[in-house]
Amino acid sequence: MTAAAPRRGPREGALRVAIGAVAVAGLVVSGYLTAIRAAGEDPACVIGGGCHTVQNSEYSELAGIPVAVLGLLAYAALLAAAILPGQLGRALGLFTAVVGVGFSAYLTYLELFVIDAICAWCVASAILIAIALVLTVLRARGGEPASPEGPPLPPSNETARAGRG
Amino acid sequence: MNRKYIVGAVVAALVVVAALVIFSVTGGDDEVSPDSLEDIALVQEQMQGIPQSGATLGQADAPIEILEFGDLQCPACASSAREHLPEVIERFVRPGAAKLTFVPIAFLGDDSERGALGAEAAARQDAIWPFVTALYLNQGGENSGWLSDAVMRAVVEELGLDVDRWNDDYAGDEVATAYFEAASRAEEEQVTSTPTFVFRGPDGRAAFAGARDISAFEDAIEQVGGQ
Repeated sequence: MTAAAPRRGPREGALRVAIGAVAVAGLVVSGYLTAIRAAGEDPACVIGGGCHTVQNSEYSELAGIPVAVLGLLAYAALLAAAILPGQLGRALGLFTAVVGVGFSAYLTYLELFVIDAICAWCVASAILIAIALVLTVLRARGGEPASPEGPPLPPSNETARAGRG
Repeated sequence: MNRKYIVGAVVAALVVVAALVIFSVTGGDDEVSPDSLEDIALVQEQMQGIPQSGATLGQADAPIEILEFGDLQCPACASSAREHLPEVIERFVRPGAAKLTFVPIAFLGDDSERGALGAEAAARQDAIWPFVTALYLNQGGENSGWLSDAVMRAVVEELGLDVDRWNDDYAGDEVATAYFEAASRAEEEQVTSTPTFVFRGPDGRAAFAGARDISAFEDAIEQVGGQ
């Protein structure tokens, strides 16, 4: 292998495991938020209570779908991306993480400046999806590394040049 | 990874984020304007013929008093006003078994504070219940500025109250004092969320928080010695 095709960052396999772990943690957080919302027999606006206020806010739904459920879907997609090998897994992971970070940033803005309440569980999710973004970017930048599923890299300069085209 | 895929995934993701945000911002029932208030007639019909005095709806000698501590911006209070209180009023307040007193508190922001002061001013005209119920039925997004002086004035006008008097009261010291009294009353009753309903009757006190249905009211009323 020449200097023109260095292996950048951690290995694909390790990144996929890490992305999968973040996705599972995210599923736990959004699953918990979905469950307490679904069990919301007595919704109330709690004085100084971040999560209740946020979860009862009118911004907690998008066209009738609770934002917590959207979180579940996003982490499920991230998990699928971690399981899927190759180009499709990398593209799906990157796509999901960018959507997640973008929408989380908007929701955090709402918490801070509009709803005036912070929900620790939502913050946890925002941190998880930010970590997922870093991991999926590393995985996407990794090109076609020597992962068990990926095709082996031909050790020629031709491939490196083609990859840069 | 092929650069085309990276750019494609990122661009597609940004488009989805933009769509979600636009949907969230415009999808809500945010727009509350003085010219588009809804359900004012419904509110008037709901309370037609029931005596009102200050912050209280119902007959003065009703054996049970129900206090509602509410924030005008709280979505749970709005859901209670929309879904459960009409039945409570028909079942218990109209027949004279209970009377309802609204105690406006404000903890969700500036709009909440304006609303609480506006409600106290409406109480000066014995019309706090139609006032707060009309606002709950037209509630906008938290701290979006929906609970403006103009919207409250429009509600006052549509309810047929004295707008000039409401204006004076709204800006006056008495209402400000009442606002602080309500806050300390909430503290005394250990209110930690809204809506909180406190029941007082011959057999003592009961309380619950949240937008709960008629059966919760029946239980609490029974507990304090009613019906």
